[in-house]
Amino acid sequence: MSTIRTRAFAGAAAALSLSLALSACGGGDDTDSAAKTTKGKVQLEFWSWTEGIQQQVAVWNKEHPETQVKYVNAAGDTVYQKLRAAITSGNAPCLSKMDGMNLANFAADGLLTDITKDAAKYQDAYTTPAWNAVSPGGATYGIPTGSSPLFTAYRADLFQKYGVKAPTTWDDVIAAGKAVQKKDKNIKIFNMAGEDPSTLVDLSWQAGAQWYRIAGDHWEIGFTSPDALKAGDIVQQLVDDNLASNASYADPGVFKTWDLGKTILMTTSTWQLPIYDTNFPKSKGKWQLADAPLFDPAKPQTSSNFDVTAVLKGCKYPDRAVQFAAWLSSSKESLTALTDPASKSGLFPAVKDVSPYVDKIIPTEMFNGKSDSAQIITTAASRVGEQWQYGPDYAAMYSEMQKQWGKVMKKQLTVKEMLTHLQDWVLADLKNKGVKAVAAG
Amino acid sequence: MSSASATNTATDSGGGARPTRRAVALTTALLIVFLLYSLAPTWFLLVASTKNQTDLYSTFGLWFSSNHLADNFQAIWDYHDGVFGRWILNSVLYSTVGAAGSTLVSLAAGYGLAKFGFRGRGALFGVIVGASLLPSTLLAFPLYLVFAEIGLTNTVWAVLIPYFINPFGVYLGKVYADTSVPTELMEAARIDGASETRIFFSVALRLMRTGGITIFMLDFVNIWNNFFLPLFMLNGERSFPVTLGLFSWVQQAQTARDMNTLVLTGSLLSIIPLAVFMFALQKYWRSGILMGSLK
Repeated sequence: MSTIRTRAFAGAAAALSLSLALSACGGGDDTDSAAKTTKGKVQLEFWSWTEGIQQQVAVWNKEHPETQVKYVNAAGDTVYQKLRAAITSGNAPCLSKMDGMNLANFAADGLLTDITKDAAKYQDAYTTPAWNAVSPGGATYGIPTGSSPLFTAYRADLFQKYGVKAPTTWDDVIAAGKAVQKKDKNIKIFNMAGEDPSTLVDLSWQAGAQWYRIAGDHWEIGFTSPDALKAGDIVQQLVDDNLASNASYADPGVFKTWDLGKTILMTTSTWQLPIYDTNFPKSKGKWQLADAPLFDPAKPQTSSNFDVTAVLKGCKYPDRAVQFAAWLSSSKESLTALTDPASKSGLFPAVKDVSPYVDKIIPTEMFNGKSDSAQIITTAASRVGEQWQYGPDYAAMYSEMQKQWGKVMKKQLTVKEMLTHLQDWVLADLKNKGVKAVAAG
Repeated sequence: MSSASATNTATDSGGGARPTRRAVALTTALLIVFLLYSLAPTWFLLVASTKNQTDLYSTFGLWFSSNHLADNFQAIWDYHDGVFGRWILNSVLYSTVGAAGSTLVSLAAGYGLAKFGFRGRGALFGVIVGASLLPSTLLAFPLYLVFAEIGLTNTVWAVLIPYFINPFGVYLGKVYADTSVPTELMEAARIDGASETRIFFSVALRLMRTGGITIFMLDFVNIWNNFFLPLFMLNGERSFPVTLGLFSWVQQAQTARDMNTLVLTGSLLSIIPLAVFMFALQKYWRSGILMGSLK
């Protein structure tokens, strides 16, 4: 029931955001990005839906009487449509939680405030890929909040039973998957859900591909670059050789796929760690963490998602907004509270030095203690590929990819065909929107 | 009629031919299947809300394991200082006030359309019937912009005022006014010197009571289940109705925190007020529906 509602809503909202995007094109000239200093007492509104943030807002308000933040708990992902409506009618908050791809789309539609100058002094605290996520096309529109660098968890006991070694590269994953299937046809090495193309995003990011790249005044689109195709080829092999299960992440019971030992390896991230002890009742204690599989061991890199705090169009005090957002996601005080699993935020910092925040998020019963979990998490956080950029129509591209991805999983389409289609689709879409873009290389 | 009575005997109590044994067995079997089909989701909800997070995934979905109902209630109560109770109260407030307002507007408008001749009456009625075909989802965004213009977003009026206007209710109101308010009675009242307002409130409204209750119940349920309007209009969880509150939990379950036990137990709790309401007004409900269908 709720999925039908959401889907209908997403459709309506997509149509709506198109019309808003068109009307917003003319009005993006109200900021000259010059840093102005606000004096006196101000109040800012901040929308988020991360558990535990509200308490930190209260702490900030107590310490900063001159900048009072009004926290509004927005109901999850539908916030993006609501924000567009609020910006159009002039009722928007100053700050809102977003993900990287929506920040890029909002920025391209002229719905955010350019805070490049105000934000510059905070840049040093955050990792380069995190800063990229708030600076699509060069100008900065927000402050990174959290990251979720990717690493691997695998069933050490079953790997031993089937006589395979923990994989270092993606080629190793394929080889291990085949070896396992020779012993037992029903055991899969990996899982790819029919509705979720994020696997391809992660692999492309890890392979060093750049689907979008800003080059001066235009974007270069590279869905069919050699690196992108290399990532696509791994997915193709997993599909062709039936090496992956296809449990849907929309199913709350999806954990069973791994808990019952049917799928024996997963890529995972920081936000999932705190819920493992509860969701893996049968197999906890048998898992082990490892670095995410690589493409090139000489240039090891992984991928991540970023939570960001965007400064919206019409925010009257961007300097104070930035000050608050930076405090929230880089001060030791705030991060110590937010990264505590008791806060239930699931947040992992996007700052350069994550070492003070790692130990607490490691579940106590899930892992077998044979690898240094903290080391693996820290390594993942430090090797997120710096080349990945979110283009101006990334969110729209993603929903287009979602449709195609389902067909790829059903073997009605190859990954290469999908990537070729996306390349053309993005070029045409950007041309429609009046954004200069050319095919890469 | 004869062919219909063969399959439709169970409801045909006043009929002539006695139902065959086979027909009875078949009908009963079909009804049992339908009963199971209708009850299964509720049963699942009931069972699921007694489980903790781990059991929810690892034990059979349609039967109990260890009982954690009290823990789940506690978790719901603890979440953000009992905001769930607030959601239920909000839902009750929006539904009661919204449905009461809408019923009055619908009956008055329906009465006007049915009993007074004026130029363009047919066209007006046509527009109203047409408007009832517009999905409310489509109107949520324009309504938001209008309410933003007059500065009423994020207030209780932003959801209540749109609820007051319900074209389908007006249509029903007209049907009920046509059938239950005799024009002769209105004329008699006029001769006695009653004003039109008095005739409506003291005579017509009483005669249309059953119809009014039907409209009230339909609206109540619609508003209780409404989702888009509050989603657009209201900011901040303390003003949410329970539908939106549960939705915000589902959203959290998908991102950082595993909240599925809360969502399930919350859903179970949220149907209780509606169930009580339906049982309490069942008598009127049935007679109201029949009244519309017989004419």
